[in-house]
Amino acid sequence: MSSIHQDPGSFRDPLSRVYVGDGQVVRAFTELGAKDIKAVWDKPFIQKALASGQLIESNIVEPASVGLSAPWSMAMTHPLVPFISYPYEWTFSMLKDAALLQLEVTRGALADGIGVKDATPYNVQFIGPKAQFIDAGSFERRRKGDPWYGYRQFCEMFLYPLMMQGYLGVGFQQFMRGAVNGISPDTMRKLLPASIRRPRKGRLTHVVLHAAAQDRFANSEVNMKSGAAKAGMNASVLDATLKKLIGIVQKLSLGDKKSTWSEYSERGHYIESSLDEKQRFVRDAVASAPRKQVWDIGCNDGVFSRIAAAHSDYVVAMDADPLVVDRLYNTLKGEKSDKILPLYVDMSDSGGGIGWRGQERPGIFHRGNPDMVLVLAVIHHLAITFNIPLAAQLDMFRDLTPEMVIEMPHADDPMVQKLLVNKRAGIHDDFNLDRFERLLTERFDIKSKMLLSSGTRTIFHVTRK
Amino acid sequence: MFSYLDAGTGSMLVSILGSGLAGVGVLWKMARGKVTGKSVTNLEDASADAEDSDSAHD
Repeated sequence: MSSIHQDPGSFRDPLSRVYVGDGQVVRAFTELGAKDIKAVWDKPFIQKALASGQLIESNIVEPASVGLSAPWSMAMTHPLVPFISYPYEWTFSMLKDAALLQLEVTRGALADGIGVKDATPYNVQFIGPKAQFIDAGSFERRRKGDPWYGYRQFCEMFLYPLMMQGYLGVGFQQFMRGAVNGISPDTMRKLLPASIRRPRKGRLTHVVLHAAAQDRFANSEVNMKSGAAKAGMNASVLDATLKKLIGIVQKLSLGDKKSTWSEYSERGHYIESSLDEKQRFVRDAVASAPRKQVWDIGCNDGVFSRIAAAHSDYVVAMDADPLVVDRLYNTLKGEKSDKILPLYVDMSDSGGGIGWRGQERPGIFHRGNPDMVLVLAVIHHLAITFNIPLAAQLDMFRDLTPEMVIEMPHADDPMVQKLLVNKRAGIHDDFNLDRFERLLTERFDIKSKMLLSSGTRTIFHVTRK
Repeated sequence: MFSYLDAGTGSMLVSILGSGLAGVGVLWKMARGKVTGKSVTNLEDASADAEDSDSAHD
């Protein structure tokens, strides 16, 4: 018997639901939804998108074969995405690529007489650095005179966040994590004033007029769909809109290109031999067993993620600096491997679930089961900058992973001293190697450890007790 | 198409505006029809046939 369960984030489209289990994803369709999908599925655009990998691999099956019954009249299976990520964990370049994918899919479908129901970044997932359209349930028959129903959603969830970063130099991630439906036209109009000196292509139409039109028609009962159809709305108008939006998105570029860590690697504190021996230690630890998923927390430029990727199926590379991650993403895009997924994750504030009942988009700890975690040059930042006790950190890692490589800077490490400069004397006296090792061994068994030749850091390979 | 989203009247108008010249004719005809509560009935009645069409292409 099948053991699939409904994805808590799948309920917004009444015509289909997503189930997960048995090593695959199942998308179920009602009779009405199946009718729409069947009408478009054999069209050249869909088949071409499947063949190229632009659209996730999809196989139509009988609902009963995957353990589903009424009201589902059709089902589709997809491979599991190695790690589900959300737009607030993406960098500017990732959201931009996802936006372009959404627009290209919508435009290509339109040319083939297919409508795309929505325009949300949750339609897109990254396999390594490659963006893929995963919502096969988005397609349906397009009827004469249909407007683009996803326009407002595209603005709120793609265009405005990109404008926020590109035109204002403000990271969009906190806004996207704070509001599962994105940024409204009215909010964006207030954020993006006419006086802004940066380029602001698209502001007048897609922000100012959009917000004004929403105000004007807020309580209107006008049936725009009928009105547009009567006035001669056609596919060429939609295509022109999509084409112009592609132009706007393509021209958006990252505003601020420097951050705390983008111009600085903590590895600068190491003499070359320390870096070499640290790499060897990590390589030996990762290669000691086959790994399905490794998390590299504090990945910086990804040097240890690459070592892990050579000995594991998939690596999720996380860093608290979105510019550092953006740089890694663009580097990985130029490489052939799709085994490393770069994400912007601040471990001190990684966030719980968001959306309906806080379960629609679950927090990061509910989306993966790493069989090994790399925690290199991280814990002193969490302990001293963010005041997260060492014991609390180790509790979290114990709950997260059965095996870990963790680096402990000693109290006299230059970076530790730097972090302590503006702190009250004595309040972090418990940040020392002896206490760390005692807390560590209460939760983990030490398989190996090494004092780096810099003399101020010790690295441990541990397994959970 | 029966999207599950409420695209919003104002948003749909601006999406046509965002097409540039391609949408001028549509907007002009809609403006002439005065996209207001008063004209809705007429627009709905007149477009009923188009609603029923399953034609995929415009």
